[in-house]
Amino acid sequence: MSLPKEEEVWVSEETAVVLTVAIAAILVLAFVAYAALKPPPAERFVVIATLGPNKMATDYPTPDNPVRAGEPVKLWVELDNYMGKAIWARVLVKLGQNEKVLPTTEKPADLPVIKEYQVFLANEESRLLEFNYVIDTPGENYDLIFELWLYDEQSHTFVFTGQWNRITFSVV
Amino acid sequence: MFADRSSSWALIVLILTMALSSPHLPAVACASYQEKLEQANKSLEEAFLAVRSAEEKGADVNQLVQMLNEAQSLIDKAQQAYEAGDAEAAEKFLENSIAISNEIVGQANSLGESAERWRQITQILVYVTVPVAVVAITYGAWRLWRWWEKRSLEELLEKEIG
Repeated sequence: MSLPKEEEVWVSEETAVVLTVAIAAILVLAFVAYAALKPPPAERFVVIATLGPNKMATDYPTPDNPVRAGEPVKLWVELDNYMGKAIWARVLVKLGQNEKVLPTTEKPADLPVIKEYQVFLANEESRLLEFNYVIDTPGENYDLIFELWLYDEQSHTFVFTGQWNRITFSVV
Repeated sequence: MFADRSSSWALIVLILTMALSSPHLPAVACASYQEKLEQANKSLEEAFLAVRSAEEKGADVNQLVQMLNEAQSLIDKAQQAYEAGDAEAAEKFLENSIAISNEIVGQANSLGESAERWRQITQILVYVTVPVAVVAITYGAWRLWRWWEKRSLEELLEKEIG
């Protein structure tokens, strides 16, 4: 009884090439198939921005650019959805004066709601909401707070996103 | 006899007048409006959840999102009409909103089903294509190898004979 010769133990060069190609093809195609079926998740976020009366980030009412009493404060609220899905957004507009306690990223402002918007946005959709509000009483340091809330499918309630804008102005 | 009849009519008219001018009547309208408002909001929520479900299955829901906004704007209009004292118009707006929400649910379910079917077909295609492609590439490589080996051998023989 003798040991098999070296040529008999090792696979032929042809078989080795075929096996290598097969394994490489399996790896490459499996990766391509995985990438095709499960695209990488994009960064997900939603934006709230307050724009001036001309739909631009200019001409905001300020303490130096006051609003006349009895005339409407005109602003636009822009919402941009990059959550990778449709969203149901609620914008709560709150009014305060000489406010020292502002909302945080966890807690909404403890102020009366003067206006509420509810809007649905498809993924990658933007929307402008018109805001008009009349203040009859002249005064300084009025604060308009725009808070963004989103409908949560688990709890079936609107949840504060921690995102808010503030416009401080005077009324003369 | 006539006196009795006329007094009966007078009584009916009186009862009807009292009923119509009753302070309970606006309350009845209010209850009806509140019920419809609640129903409209519930229908809208169901519609949104149906749209999200369809979207998760891979459906394009842009059109349905626009319809959701339409249903929402009708609720807003209903609230404005109610605040202006037009309960009848308010209820009409709410009924239309509910109808749109119900339509959204139907369309979302249908879109979701077809999107899911399409996704399953795509998955099957990928799962079938990958092994077929592996076999094809491997066979092609083997044939190429054989051709190249044969060609090398022929060249060698030609050299040796030459």
